[in-house]
Parts: sequence; structure tokens; C-alpha cells
Amino acid sequence: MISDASGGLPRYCHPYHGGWDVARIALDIPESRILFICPISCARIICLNAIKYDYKDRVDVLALTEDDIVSGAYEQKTIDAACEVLDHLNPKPKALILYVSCIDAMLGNDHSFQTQEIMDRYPEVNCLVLKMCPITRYSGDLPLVALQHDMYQALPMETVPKEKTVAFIGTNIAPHPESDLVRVLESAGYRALHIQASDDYRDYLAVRGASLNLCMMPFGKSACALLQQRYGTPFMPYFAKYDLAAIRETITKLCDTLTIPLPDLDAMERETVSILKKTAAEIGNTELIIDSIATLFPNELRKTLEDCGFKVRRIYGDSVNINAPDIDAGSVRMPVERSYGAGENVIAIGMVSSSFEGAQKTIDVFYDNGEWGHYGLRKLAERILDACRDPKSSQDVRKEAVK
Amino acid sequence: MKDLFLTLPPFAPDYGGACEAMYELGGLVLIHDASGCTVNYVSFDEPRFHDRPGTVFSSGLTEIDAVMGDDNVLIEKAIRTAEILHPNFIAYVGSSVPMVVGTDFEGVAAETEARCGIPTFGFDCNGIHSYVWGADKALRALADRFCGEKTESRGTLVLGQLPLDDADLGASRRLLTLFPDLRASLSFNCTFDDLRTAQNAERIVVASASGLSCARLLNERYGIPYTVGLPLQKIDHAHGPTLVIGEDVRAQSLAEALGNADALDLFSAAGLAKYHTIEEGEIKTVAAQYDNVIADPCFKPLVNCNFVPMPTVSVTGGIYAETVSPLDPQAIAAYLR
Repeated sequence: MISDASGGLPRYCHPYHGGWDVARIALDIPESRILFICPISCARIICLNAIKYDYKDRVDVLALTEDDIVSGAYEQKTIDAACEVLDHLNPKPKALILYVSCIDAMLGNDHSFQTQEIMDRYPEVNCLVLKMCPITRYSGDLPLVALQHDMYQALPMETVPKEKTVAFIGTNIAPHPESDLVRVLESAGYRALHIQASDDYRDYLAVRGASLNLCMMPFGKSACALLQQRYGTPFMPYFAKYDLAAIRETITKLCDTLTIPLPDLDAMERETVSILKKTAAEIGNTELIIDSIATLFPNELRKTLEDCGFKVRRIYGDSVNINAPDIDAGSVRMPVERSYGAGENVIAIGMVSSSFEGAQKTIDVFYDNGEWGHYGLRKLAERILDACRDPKSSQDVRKEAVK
Repeated sequence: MKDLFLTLPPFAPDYGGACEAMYELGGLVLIHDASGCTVNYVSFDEPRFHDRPGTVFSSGLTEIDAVMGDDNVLIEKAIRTAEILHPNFIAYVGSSVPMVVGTDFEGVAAETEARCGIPTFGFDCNGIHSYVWGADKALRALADRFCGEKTESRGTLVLGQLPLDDADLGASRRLLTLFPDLRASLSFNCTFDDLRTAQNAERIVVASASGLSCARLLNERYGIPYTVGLPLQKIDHAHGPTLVIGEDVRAQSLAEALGNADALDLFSAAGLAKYHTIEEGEIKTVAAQYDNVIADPCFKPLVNCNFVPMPTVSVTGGIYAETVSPLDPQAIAAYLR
């Protein structure tokens, strides 16, 4: 069992986030644009990610000065900046996101008059407020929970007729089109809807008409509850990612709920296990290390991999209930536990564990890359073999990303 | 509109500069934030962190601690961590929320030092000033505290050389080759002993405005002469009027090496460059007067003339690979019209 390592000690912050930040998640809303309103430093990582991943044309920043903060002048300045941004654009974005940071939580601003004034001037633009406030993580919802909730709170209140659509909520990465989940749904005539996979604002609005919402990550529970309350859309958790029995149980429950045919789960399972066992045999004594940045479910993944013959040496993760006396556990938060191994004969699933142990074979994956279930396990087997064929340290991976 | 950034990213802030100045000196550095500012720093402002994570942490500031002004939580964390890491010093570095609640960093530092006996500093950064401001403060404070009696006079001390001013760590290393009698460079490729013996330098070169206050201090206290600017190779190559955009000392040094060139300072207002601004509109207006502009690639959309990309970590955080080096003005000149 790993305790919460941050208690009483400062937080170690690792530099790897797979290119994801709160702005990029919010930009899952198709045809949206962000105006950050914050001390200029708060938006640096946001803008640099935006340049790195080529969406800077959707992110602007209003830099607040000490005078703005003390005088409260930034309330009007926000409206002026939003109007200047929108005046420059033709066509206008369908949604303008005013993104505020920690100091906004301290100042207790009410943004409703700002959003209303902006929408009065630009009726075709939906203006919403999102918060990047890690400072409130112990006094309110977790930032990612609040973000998912607030993204869907901005939907119009009006209900729409239900359609043969299943929406994925709570994850910033759309499940892969080849995943077992998407294939099960689409083979039964359901549309699998994740707003990240769309560039049409109407798909965001179409979430209201989903017959069922799948809560893909714990972060999405609050958003799912909101969508149920507003639009009467039922939801079910879909957290099973790597545990074969849990995957079977969840797919069965999904098919029962939608009254659609159950796929041949035995065959799917046989194929997955066969691929994993073959891969484990190929890599022989090479051990695996896994971190909780690569997957939100490191222990579930570990168990399945070990059942199929892999050797997992260590898991790096905080607040992860390992419950296995034989597994070595490291913290990604506890500064004194950082260890730098030689990194030989080890494959790191995740950049953080790779950098901690100096691994020469790295699988660059962040929050599962949306690759779960049988598809995810098979894809991981491919990546393990790729890592052996084309060994890379975390530094090699990082250098490859330089433009 | 003033303060509205439609094209440029925010540049490296004061807390990034302060942390970078202290990175190799064996201190325990706590950025007093909820974690977002520290993530900013380790992700994009500190290329050394990727190779070898340093002892820079987030204090994990919470809303309730900020509202209640409970600095004891911060002090306890620092002391507990210092007992594990045995740092040469402790440094608290501010961010935007401590600015709003008015954290007294000097007071917190004094109390920490009184309780644990480890030299402790407090820097009231707020995420609004530039990295040069933060680095300048930190370097001066460290030298003020740790430089002792002068026992010899030897070699060149480079002050203000930060990886933030270069395209990558390789470029930072190459820059040191400009100084054949190099004694030490603060703060890159250095040790705590280099800091403690900085007063024994024969001369000082200020490589960026981040080193200016420290140079003045060492000059006043020990009489060490200093020069401001990099000794770049001058070239004689015909080209139209050229604007170099960047850090004040670096940009001015390159402009002088090129000739027929001016500098636009983004960060320091040290007063060397002809222009100083970070307003996008003003940059466009100034750039329109020149045939060539040398700047980080993110400035290209603001410029209509011939553009020479010269990335720096302080602007685009190492996203872009080095194109041309300020160490080789001749290669730059080949790009110029």
C-alpha cells in the first residue's frame, strides 16, 4: 500500500504530461477558442503546448498586471479583450472560453455579467468560464472533475430528442475507433460520440441527445450526473481497462443496458491472452516498470501482464493501492524516493518511470492514450516489442519532439 | 490592445529565472504555489530538469493555507525536507497567489533559518515580472550571503549565463568556450564552491542582464572590474538594417557584432537595447523599419521582412531546435539581406 506521499512534504512535479493540459482538454469542445485571463506566467505552459501541438491559433492570453488585480480593472479589461479577439475573427468561434487561474479563486470573481455582456454583443458565440485552479484541489472538486463538469454545464438547457448515440464522458482522449468498445457499439448501429474526435460544434450539442453516457474515467462522474439531471441521460461507469474479468463484465453490462448483441467475449479474450503470452515469451527476462502517468490503472495492468507471463519490477504511483507484498512501489511525488537505476534490461511503460530509472526502452504513453480493453492490451503488446526493436530513453523521446 | 497576446506565448517568468539561477548550487528550492507554476518551470523553463531533476519542488499551497495565511505549513515542509536532503541553503520563491495574500517571504525565510540553522532566502516573485528580474535578485542575494574574503585574483567569472538564454543545453555549453580563462559561470555548469569563491575572480563578464546586480555587488565589495556583453566575433558583411529581438545584453551583443543592427529587449529594461517592449503591436511597428529580424521563431507572424529564427528557451521553452547560433554571426549574416 502506498500512502499519500504529498502529506507533509513538498510536491515533486515531473515535466511530462503527454502534451495535455487543461486548455487542450477544454478545446475538445469543437470550434471553440480560449482566452486566458491570468498573470502572464500561468498561461506559459498552455501556450507552449499549443505551439508545440499546432493549435496556438485557438489560444489567446490577457496578461494581468498587479494594478489590474488590485484595482479590479481586469473585469472590464476581460470584456474588452474578448471583444477584440472576436472582432478579429471571421467566422467567429462557436464558443469562447474565458479561462481563469488560481488568483481568480482568491479574488472571488463573479463572471456572469462578463459572459452575458459578451454573448449580448456576439449572440452567435457561447461564452463560458473554465477554471485552472489547482489551489482549490482540497477545497472543491478536483480540477479535472470540475473541468469536465463545467465543459458540459455550458450546453444549452433545452433538451433534444434522444438518438442512437452513446457519448463518452470524463476522458480527454477519444477511445480508438478500433477498440472493442467502439466496435461493439457501432456494430449494433450506435454512434460512438466523443467530442474530441469531432471538429463540428453540433457534436458538442449532440451530447444532449445521447441515449447513454459512459463515464470513462472517475473525473467524469460529476459531468455525467449533470447530464442525467438536465437531459435525463442515464450513465454507467466504464472504468474496466485492463482486468480481463472486469472487461467481460462491463461489456456484458453495456450490451444488456442497450439490449444489443454480446460479442464473442471468449474469442476476444483468447486472442488477447495469446498475444500477451507470446510477447512475454519474446522479451524473456526483460522486466517492466509502470507509472501512474502512463496509465490511471497501473495495478490493474500489472496484474493482467503478470498473469500472462510478464515480470513487473516496479510501479511508480501515489495513492495507488498495490496490495501485493511482492511488488516494489515507488512514488512519483515523494522526492526522496527518486532512484536512478542503470535502466538496463527494463522496459518503462511511461516517461516518468523511464526517467526515474534511466530506462533505455521507453513506451511513451499518457493516461492510456485512449487505448483500453482488449484493443489496448494488444496495442501495448505491440509497443513492448517496438520498444525492444527501437530502444529509446526518455531523453531520446523528448528530443524527437523538438521542432 | 495592451497586454493581449494573440501571437506570442508568455515568456519565462520571474520564478523561473530565480530557480534557474540556483539550480546547480545544491539548494532546496520551494516554489510557493499549488503546483501549476512549478510544472511551468520544470516543463519548459529548465532544460536541465529533464536530464537530471533538481531539488526544486512545489510547496503544494492550498486555498485554505493561503486564506488563513498559515506560513507554518510551508516552513514545516521545508525543514522536514531539508532534514532529508541536507541542502546548502533553502530558498522560497513566490508566485501569483502569495502576491495576492501578501506573503512575507523574507520573514518566512528568517523564521526558517532561525529554526533550522540553514541559510534561507525568500524571493517575492509573482509570475508577472520577467525571468531576468528573478534571476538577477537570486544571484545577487546568493553572492551577498556566500562570497567571503578575497584570497586571490584569477580568471574570468561569467555572470548571468542561464540556459533560458540559449536554444538548448548544447548551445549553453558552447557559449562557455568564449572564455578561455573561465573561472566559473553562474549559473550554468557550476558548483556551490564556484559561488563561494566568486570573489576571487580577476574580471567579470555579464552575459545577460540577470547577472548585472551581482556584478555590481562584487565590483563594489571586492573591486572586481566587469564588462557587460558577450565577446562575439565581429563581421564585415553588407546587409540591410537588422533588428535583433531578445534578452537585452544578448541582443545588444549580437547587434554590435553584426553592425548596422539594433536590439529590442524583451525582458530586462537594463537600458542597452534601443527598444524595450513586449507589446505585440509595438513589436510589429518597430520591426517594420528593418530589412531583417533575428528572433525566436514565434515572432515570425509579427514580421513582414526577412526573418532569421534564433530560438531561446526563455521564449519558446526548447520547442524549437537551434537554427543559427549567436556564437557564429557570420552564419547569421549569410541569412541576411
